[in-house]
Amino acid sequence: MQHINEELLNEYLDDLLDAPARAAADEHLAACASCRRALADLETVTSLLASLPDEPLTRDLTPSVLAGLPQPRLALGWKLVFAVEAGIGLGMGMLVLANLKFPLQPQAWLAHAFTTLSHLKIPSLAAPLLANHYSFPAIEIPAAPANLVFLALSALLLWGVGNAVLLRGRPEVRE
Amino acid sequence: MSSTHERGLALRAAAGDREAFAEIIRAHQRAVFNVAYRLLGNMRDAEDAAQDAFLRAWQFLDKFDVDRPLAPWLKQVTVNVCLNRIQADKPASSLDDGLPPPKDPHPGPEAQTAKRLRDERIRRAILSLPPRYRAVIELRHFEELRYEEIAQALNRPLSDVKSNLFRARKLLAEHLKDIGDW
Repeated sequence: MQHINEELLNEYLDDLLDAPARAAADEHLAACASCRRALADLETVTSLLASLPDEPLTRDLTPSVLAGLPQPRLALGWKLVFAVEAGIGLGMGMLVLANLKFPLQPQAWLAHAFTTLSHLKIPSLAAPLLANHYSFPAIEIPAAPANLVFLALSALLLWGVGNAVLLRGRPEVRE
Repeated sequence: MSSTHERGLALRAAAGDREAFAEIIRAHQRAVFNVAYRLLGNMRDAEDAAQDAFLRAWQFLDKFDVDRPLAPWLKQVTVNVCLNRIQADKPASSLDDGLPPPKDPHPGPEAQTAKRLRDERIRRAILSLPPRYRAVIELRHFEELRYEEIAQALNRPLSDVKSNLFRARKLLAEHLKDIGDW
């Protein structure tokens, strides 16, 4: 008598045989004590594995998993916001630095602006101003206030850069 | 957890929502840990492997089909993480250290003790198998995957999976043949 081979026996156990193959295996098993024993051994294994209980966890894994997640990256829109913010801060800081070398002379700037306006042929807008601009009183910005402005703008710069660093965590996109 | 709720969590987590992912971890951590524990046989290694499995799941969650249940996928990820750890010789476990400590420091009823000893014996038998055999036993008997699904999960030919499974069962049957005496 030819015994059921290993593959067929396992597929019988896993209920993977089609009806004719299963019927043939049943017929053989009814007549063959050796194959019945082999099948019984496999069924015992299946039953023992199924009886193995789950063990409880000794701790919640959530905090350590979350701590191990990669640092989130900023969404593109927020990156742009912070880039613009940092750019403005940087530009203003550079202006302030330039002002230390070339102190502000607002009346000269105004005169230059009005002249430009007149060249642009916008008389209705510029005329009343042009009539008076040379009479503007000279404004001198003393050294101390200039330094204060410098400090304030530097703080703005730091605030912008600081925001970009501190708010890196949100909103995020996936790694 | 309902499938609709789980699908929502998976979608949110895939979009980067850590709170949603935390809820997924809390819901599945015990099952994932137990897969790792059966394969590694040491609680500390199993916890580490479970963490690694969740980190890997996070990495690939945006490629996961959210219409499928999460649990089988998480367990398959865990099996592969454990196989990698075994191959890299990461677990510093000895089987003696790895088996669970008695749950009750006081001697329990005799039947309870016998059951615990029998469970330990089954775990030892699984751990005595070569890693690839352990993996197919885990996926077939505990996760109830079909042969083809196991082959896909482990990225192995179907013929290898069948052969490994049949050999593993035979070895387990030999290891556990006198389990009735326990």
